Amino acid sequence: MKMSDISNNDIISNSQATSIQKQELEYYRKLAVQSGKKRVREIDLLARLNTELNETKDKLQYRVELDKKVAEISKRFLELSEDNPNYTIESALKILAEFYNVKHCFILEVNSDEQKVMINHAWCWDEFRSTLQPSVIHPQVCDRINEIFTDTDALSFQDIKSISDRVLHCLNSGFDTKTALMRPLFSDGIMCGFLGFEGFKSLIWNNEDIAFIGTISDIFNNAMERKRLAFVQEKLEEQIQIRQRIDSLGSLAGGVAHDLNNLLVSIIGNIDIVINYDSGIGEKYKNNLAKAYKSCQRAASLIKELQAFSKGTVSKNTTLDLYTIAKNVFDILDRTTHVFIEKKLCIKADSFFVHGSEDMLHQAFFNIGTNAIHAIEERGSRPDDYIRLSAEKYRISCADETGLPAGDYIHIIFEDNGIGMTESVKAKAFDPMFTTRRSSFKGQGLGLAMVYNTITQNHHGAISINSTVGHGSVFHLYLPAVENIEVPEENAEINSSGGSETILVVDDDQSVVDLIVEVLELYGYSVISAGDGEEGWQKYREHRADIDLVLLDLVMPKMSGGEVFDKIREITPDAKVILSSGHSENDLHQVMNVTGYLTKPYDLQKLTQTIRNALEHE
Amino acid sequence: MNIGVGYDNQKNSFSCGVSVAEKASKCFADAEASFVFAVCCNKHDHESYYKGLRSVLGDSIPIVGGSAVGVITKDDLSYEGYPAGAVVFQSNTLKCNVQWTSGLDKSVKQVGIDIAEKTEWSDKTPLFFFYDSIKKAASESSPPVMNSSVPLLNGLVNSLKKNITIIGAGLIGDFSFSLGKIFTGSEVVPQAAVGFQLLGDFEIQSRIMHGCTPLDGVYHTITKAKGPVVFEVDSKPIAKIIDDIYGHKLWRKDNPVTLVSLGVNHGPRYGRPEEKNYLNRLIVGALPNSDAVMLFEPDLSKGDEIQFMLRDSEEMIQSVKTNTETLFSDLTNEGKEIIFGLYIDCAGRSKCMSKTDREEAGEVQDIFKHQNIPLFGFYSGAEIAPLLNKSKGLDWTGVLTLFYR
Repeated sequence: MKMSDISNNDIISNSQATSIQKQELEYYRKLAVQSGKKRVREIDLLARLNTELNETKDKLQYRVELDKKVAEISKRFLELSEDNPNYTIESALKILAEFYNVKHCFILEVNSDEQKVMINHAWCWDEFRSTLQPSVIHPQVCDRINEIFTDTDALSFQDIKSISDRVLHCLNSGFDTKTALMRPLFSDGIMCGFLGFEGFKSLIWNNEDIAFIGTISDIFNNAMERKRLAFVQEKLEEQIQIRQRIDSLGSLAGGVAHDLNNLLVSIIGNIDIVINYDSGIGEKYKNNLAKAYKSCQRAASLIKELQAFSKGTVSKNTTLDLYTIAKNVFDILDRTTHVFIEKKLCIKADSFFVHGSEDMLHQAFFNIGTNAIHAIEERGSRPDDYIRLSAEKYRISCADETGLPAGDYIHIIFEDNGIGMTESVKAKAFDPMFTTRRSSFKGQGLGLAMVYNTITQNHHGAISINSTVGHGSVFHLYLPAVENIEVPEENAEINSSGGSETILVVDDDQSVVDLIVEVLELYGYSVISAGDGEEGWQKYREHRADIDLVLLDLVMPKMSGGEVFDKIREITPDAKVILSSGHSENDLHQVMNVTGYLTKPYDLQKLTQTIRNALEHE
Repeated sequence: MNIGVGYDNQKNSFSCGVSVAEKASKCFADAEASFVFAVCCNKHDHESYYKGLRSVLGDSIPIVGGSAVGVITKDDLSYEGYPAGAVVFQSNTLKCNVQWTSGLDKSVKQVGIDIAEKTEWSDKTPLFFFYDSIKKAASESSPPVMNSSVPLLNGLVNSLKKNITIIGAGLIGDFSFSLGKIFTGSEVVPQAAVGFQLLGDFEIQSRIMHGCTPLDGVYHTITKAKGPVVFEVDSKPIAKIIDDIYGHKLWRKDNPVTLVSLGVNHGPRYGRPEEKNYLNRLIVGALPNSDAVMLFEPDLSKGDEIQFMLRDSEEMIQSVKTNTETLFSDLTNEGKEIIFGLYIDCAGRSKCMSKTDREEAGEVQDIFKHQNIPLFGFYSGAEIAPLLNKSKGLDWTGVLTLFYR
């Protein structure tokens, strides 16, 4: 009740009036209190809403600022100079360090090959620059960090401290670091480093910051991936150049080999004639000539090896004695690498046979051998250095670590006592383009990849590596074993008697022609000779009826041996033709259906025997 | 007389001092400065800032001032980053008397007495008086402990032999109530107070800007209090009463409490409330694990009659506008020329603490900008100005002092 509600005419007592006044006062008091509270609560609500609004505004503004930084940094990487990517990365680190006002912003790169974590990119204020040193974190620490990252987006200062002081050492933080944050960088899902911050003042890294740093980390990942790809591309280009040089060298070697073979035919043949047909020569000189003959054979062997490297084709699959391949490879390594590295070939001839390509296996063994030699040289040679190849029979009856099906295999053990491999190097050893060597001339990272392909794909075998850093490596090769099926030599029967038939000799090397003519005439044959393909074809047409056999050089000017052969066979399908060449055997076998092949250099026995066999060939 | 104002917000304290001094003294070229009042926030290294000022202004000039949460000038206003500023007076006729003493942490009252007794202060001009507000910094478990203005001013006023107007402030250097420093004229000292008088061809007048109004007009009696801590009002725990006013307990996390304060009405008991009659006391915060509150000053005790006051931002801004305009018009109508304004503004009145959209000090800036008169102001912990004819420590106020001829 209020005073205004009381009419003047109302009759009230004094006590009633006092009571009414008290009630009225209480009423107004309550009203005032309630109004006061209402005001406070409304203003408080408005103030708190205003605070929230301001906080949201601040957050949005901060986010806009972060987005601007992302754009600024992204722009730098879009314009990333291939000439100097490090500068771009470091200038981006500067932007981040200045933005967060930290002492030091850096990228730790994990170099798993060398088991190191290095600060490879960093930016810090000039006043702290003197404290910035390249540092290394032990890989175990890195593994621990990796474990922690399964639960969190970024490592805080406390996290880093809890892992190891070595991390802080790495940061060169010392005692006065108040804030540190590390965010992992990934490449193909594998952690390849960290983006880190270190400062002297405490900072609160909120979710926006962590997300922002995550985005920046992705940009850095991308940049570093680009840098890596640029490196790979550079290596590929180097490799292409080297490949081209090797190809040129191969062509040159092939040509030289051809010419040398022709010369050797003449030298060997003439020595043969003197030894066998000159009765006037003394025994002492015969011995001298015999030595010269052997030297020529060794030269022929060397030229064959040279051809094996220069040719681009692969030999067909045959049954192979592993000893022959290994011996050949070890002989080459023995001649071409450090004499102090002992080459131990611990298998015997006719012990282990496989079915495969001689060329490919030769190359595979050679690659493992050179890899082993490099592993020793990397460490620095010692008197007890060695590479060793041994083998044993290996039967698989149930699934084992080789993953090969049941059967009989040959287990080849190729070992060295070189520098050895780390687990990570071992894991990547067969990856194409992976190399631990700095010099491009020492390896392109394809050698072991090719070995892997040869053994597993081409020969259905398996390969694995055991290695300990500092104690060498052991390559285990498993190849399906085969029984040696004795293939009778094509010309096993020695039939080197002469005859009276007419033979057309076509060769562009006059010394070879002269020698063959002399020898064949000694053996009673009639000989017609020609100095190139055109002349040969012409003489064949002229004396077609008289000619019993054509001895045809493969590579000649004007018209090749192959073309002459085709023309002869056109007009005389059953003509007997022997193809001869100073090029590789493979080149000869490109021409099909000839009566016989003669690979230069050959001795007189081989010449006369092949001719006789061909003449008697039905 | 030349008066120059300088402001900067750079991180490097020395460079900041250099920059502030250069800006402030720019207007009087090669003439030697006579007196400097300077402040900087607690993010700065006070010594480096002071050296920066000295490197420009020389070693002999008195530099007085100390910590401040933020700086207000005609053109700048900031309590974020690294605010610092100074006003430099240059006049061949200016006389200044500067006295200081330390030991607030030992006896606040004695410091007041010492300042009063150090010199023969003039009653022709106000005594400017500044002291270090924070005795003990705030921690996670307790609000800060303040150097109370009440015993300090009692010591000072009672020891002055004349009736002298005192204008000044308790200085704080940040919103988190960390320990500050005082520029004594010749040194940088903690736990100190400094007084000075400026005598020249000018006069000084000040006005208090309020902003608190009675919440509901209801009078309450403090029934339990000790020092700056009030436990009970009307025999009820005070924090519970404030809980009821707010309708929640969130206010207990605020340091200081931003909306509600305690006021003592020195005017007519039931007349229209006049802000000039009210002495307001800021609540620094609720004591943890207790229903008591701590006040900025310890001058309320058991038996005192108080009212809960509401700090209404809109009214505060309106009060500043009206009072500043009135003061200006009063003086100009008398044919006076206003040459400088000093604005001592409670840090709690800043936009971030008041949770308003605009700065209350912006109203002061606008008028000075419009009149193109130099203004130097700063955010303080407590203000000192005459209220009801007696200089008192005030809370939640702004004190505008005009220098005029």
